[in-house]
Amino acid sequence: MKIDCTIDGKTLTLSLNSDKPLSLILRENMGDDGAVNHCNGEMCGLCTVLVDGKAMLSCMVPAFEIRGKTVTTFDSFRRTRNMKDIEKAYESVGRYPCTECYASRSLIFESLIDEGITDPGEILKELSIVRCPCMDPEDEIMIVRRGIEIRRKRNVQRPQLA
Amino acid sequence: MIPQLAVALHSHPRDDILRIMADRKNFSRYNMRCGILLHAEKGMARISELRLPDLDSRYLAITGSDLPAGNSFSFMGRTMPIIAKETISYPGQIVLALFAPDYESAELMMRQVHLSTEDIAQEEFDAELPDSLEYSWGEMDDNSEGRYREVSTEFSLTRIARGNRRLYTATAWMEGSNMHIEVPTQWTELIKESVERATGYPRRSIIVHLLPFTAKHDEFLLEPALLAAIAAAATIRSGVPCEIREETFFSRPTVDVRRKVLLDDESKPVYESAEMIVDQGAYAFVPEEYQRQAMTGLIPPYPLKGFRGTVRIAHSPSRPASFCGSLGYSEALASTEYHISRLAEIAGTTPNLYREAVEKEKRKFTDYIPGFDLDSQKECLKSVTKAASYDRKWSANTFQKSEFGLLGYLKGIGIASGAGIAGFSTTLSKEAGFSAMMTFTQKRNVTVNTSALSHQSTMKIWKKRIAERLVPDRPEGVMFLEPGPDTLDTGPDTLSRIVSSFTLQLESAAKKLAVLKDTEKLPVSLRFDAENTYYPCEFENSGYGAVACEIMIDKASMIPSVVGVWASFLFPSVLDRVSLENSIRRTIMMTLQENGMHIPLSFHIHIEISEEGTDDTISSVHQIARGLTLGALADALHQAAGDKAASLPISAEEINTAFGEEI
Repeated sequence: MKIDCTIDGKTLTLSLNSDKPLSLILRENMGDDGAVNHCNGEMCGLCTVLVDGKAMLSCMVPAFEIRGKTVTTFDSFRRTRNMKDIEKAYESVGRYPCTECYASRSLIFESLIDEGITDPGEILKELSIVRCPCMDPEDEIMIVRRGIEIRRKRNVQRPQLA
Repeated sequence: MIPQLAVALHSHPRDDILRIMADRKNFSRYNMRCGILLHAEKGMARISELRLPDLDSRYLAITGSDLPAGNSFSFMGRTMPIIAKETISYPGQIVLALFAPDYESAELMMRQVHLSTEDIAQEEFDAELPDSLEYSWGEMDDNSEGRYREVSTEFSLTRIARGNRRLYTATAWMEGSNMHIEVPTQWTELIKESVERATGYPRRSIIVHLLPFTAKHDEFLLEPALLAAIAAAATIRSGVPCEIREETFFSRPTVDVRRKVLLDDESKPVYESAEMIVDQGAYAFVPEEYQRQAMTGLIPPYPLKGFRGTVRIAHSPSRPASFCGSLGYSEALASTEYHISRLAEIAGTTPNLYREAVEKEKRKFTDYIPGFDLDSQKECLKSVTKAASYDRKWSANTFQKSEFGLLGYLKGIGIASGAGIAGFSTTLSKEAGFSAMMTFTQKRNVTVNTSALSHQSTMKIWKKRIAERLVPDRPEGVMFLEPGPDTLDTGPDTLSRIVSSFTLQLESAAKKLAVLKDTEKLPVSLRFDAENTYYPCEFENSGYGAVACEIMIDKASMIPSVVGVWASFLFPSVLDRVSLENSIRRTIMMTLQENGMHIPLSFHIHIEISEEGTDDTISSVHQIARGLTLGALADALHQAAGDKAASLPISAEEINTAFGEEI
């Protein structure tokens, strides 16, 4: 089937099987082998992408579900100002995810910061999809809260700068 | 000198992610073949039939007979077949590679492949194993008169063998007379050697393009080389680029340590024997080095009149174990620390006080580790004991344990302390001859010829430190040569050696070159060993640490959870405290989780890092942090569940079963 969608800012019409997982579309059709994993639904959490701004496991998203939607992978997200906020939060808290889960965790942090979620239970529930054991729960909560503060500050400063 | 360099891999992860495969040829997926592998379901079997469907020209099957130059993979002198040909040694061994225009077609076609096997007898299944490594001093006294109290302890780690749910690809393509390989690997020279052995392609014509990777368990050491060899063979046969996609896999060996100790009237150890049996799976890679590293960790820090240590390598029809970040030292150190805590329990005192009572100010000098002052180690221990309220918690748990009927108190706190080591042993360093070369050119630039180019962030630090000594006004004058046919083999990127041992060697070479550039005619080059050698010892002590770990087993679900971890480390010098702390935290978290521990929301790690301000050898942060965490965890688990928690990793089901058996 033909699917119209936007991936990393490019408007595309893809011709593929309707049930092909998004992770495989990104790996095979878009050539994004590095940052997006495909664990075949085993919940490794290393295939996270933003679909219309919400963090999702791309191996669990069939092709038909991205019709008309905007998919953002870490490859394009890392160049945005929002990523700079997350980097500042990492720096401020003094904790960084490891290289393996850096992309996925950063995208989930972005989703949480964007929605302004501060409840520890909800933060950990969202982040539990990344199985990588490189961060402890306390640090994850601190990064999200710090990220929200930084984002708010930036949003307040922006009109003044303009 | 800069132990925190060992964490540089993680310090600025974006650098690694940003590393784009710039050299990759821009070929389309429509003119290439995608390969998947058929793995054997069980080991110790003979292939009775491997039936393939009719394959048209779009498909290609590679079996053990289809590798042009030979079906053999070699790693530091030990070999195994790339693809199982007649017999299957372990479950998961590669039996066939099937290439198709796309992965879906390959998977559909693979369903039509039929593999049948028949079991073979144990006698037919044999592996080349080294003799036991033995090390001893003093003579064991005869205890027939019962002068000493004889105590035995056991420490056991069960094999972990599982996929990491992480996909990676190995791609091969030809361009003119060159064979290009793109793969994540911890040792580029191994890729070249494996491709050469399998295809006959001359090593000078093999160009390796490195993909970014994170090897938490050395999963990118052996298997990518096998995949690269198969992909290269497929490329030669098909004439088009070939790619294999595979899930990463890691395997930790089974380790059993049995100790027998004779205690005097004051419960101080007098004579001790320790036997470590390591099952490395169907094929043992660098077993002699494993023995040396393990022996270093096996020797206890307290004085003994006599000691006999044995490290024996065993084999079984299971997947060969990779280095797993320690090559034996962490496991052996953990077993020693666990053993000391058991002796303290027998003596009726806290492990912390027992250590103070039995350990002298200095360790005994041995062939494996020099006799160093234990002051620093004791300082770390004191710091951790205080931060964790260790003595109070240990005593409370011990006293309350007896009050809680069949289930026990289910709470425990453990402690471990020790010294770090770095890289390979002196013997292996001399045998392997891994090296690098630094040149001061006529244009007054510095070039470094090394295969250790995978750590982008570490290389920035290297450049800065070399520039400080040789071209202080021009840091851009230090260049690492691009990989090519003349690249010197600096060895595998394991045991954090590239960032720990190699950094020291680079600094030392820069110091020497700083003198030579003013006295010799330019250009002047200096070829140096990638690893330091510590004659007369196999290893040098560097960096000290102590870890306390508190756990709790849930009474209803029997899920073991970690309440908290307290760690204290002392390194020769600390440049980037944040990176170092992050690395230690990750190692602790990873060790806890891979051994079955649940991490609750309230979990915290308290870390204290100090520096000596000396220029001593750099230690491998992962080895020491992993070994101490493992030792403290095993100790805590023993206090919580007693002998029922016989080995790590442990699960709620296993604890439940163990308690159920008693009831």
